[in-house]
Amino acid sequence: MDLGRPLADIIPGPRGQLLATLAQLEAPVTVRALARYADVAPQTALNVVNDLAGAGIVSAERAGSAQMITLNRAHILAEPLISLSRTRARLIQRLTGELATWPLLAGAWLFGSAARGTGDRESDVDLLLVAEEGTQAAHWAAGTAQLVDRVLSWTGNHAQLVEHTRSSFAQLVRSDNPLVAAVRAEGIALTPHSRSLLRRVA
Amino acid sequence: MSPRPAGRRSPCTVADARARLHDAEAFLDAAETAKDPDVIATNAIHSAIAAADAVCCVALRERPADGSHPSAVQLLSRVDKGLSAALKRALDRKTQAAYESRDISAGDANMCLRQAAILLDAARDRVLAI
Repeated sequence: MDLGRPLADIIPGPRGQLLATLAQLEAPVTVRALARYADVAPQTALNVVNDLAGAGIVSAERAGSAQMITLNRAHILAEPLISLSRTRARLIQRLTGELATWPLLAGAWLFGSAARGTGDRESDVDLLLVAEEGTQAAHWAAGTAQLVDRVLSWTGNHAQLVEHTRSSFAQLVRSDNPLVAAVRAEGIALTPHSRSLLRRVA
Repeated sequence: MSPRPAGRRSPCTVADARARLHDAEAFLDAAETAKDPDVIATNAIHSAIAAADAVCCVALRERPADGSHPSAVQLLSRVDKGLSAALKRALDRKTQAAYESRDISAGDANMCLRQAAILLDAARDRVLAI
């Protein structure tokens, strides 16, 4: 899956980029502004918007000399489109749900390009896992193997796990390790206690 | 279509939204670990402001640029009236919490925390999806 633009795997090209942007925006915009936000050429955006308006997916109204457009959220296709545009949130939700069943997990974060929303099809899903105790126990190995399989099954992307115990993680934090800096700057906490763990061991 | 809100605004990007969400989480962390009601409330209010910016950056691709509380509330109301009401409730306590010698009550500090949490949830919901 294209981790930066998941909708592109279903609707490739400018049409997908414009639809993804329309799904994010919650107020009318000009076609020129939409084109800028979606990183699409203005004329291409105008052609796509006119086509979408023909299908009723986009609503257009005049404001002075400008035409303001918005996603028609009442359209029967709007709901599945919005759902598709929230793929990254669904991945985070699934990771959170999966890790909630782990009994000896002190903290977990998504980091790297998947966390920044800049990945692509080749990107790994980078996960930092901090175990309450050791990472050598059989149940821990079984859990991580299952997690890797599930991420591949959900996304088509490989999970790259970085595993630490609470004490080895505390050492990383105290030594200002770049991984910790990345987690602080862009990491998405996947368990309720992850943020407080980072605070406590600092 | 709702009229464009008053006040100066600046364009912002998805990257700005992520940065402001990060700020909002850090301020809420600071609020939740503080003991003094004025410190709790001030950090919670800063968290609420940052979360509101993150919401506006995703939903409108612009955010307030003049430091005016009423225009920030008005801009956020273009996205969601419930969220703008939460921001207003938090901002209404800012002067007392941050500048006055009279301490804010523990109840009001908790109220600011609740409003910040509402706005942070809304910001996470939008920013983490993109």
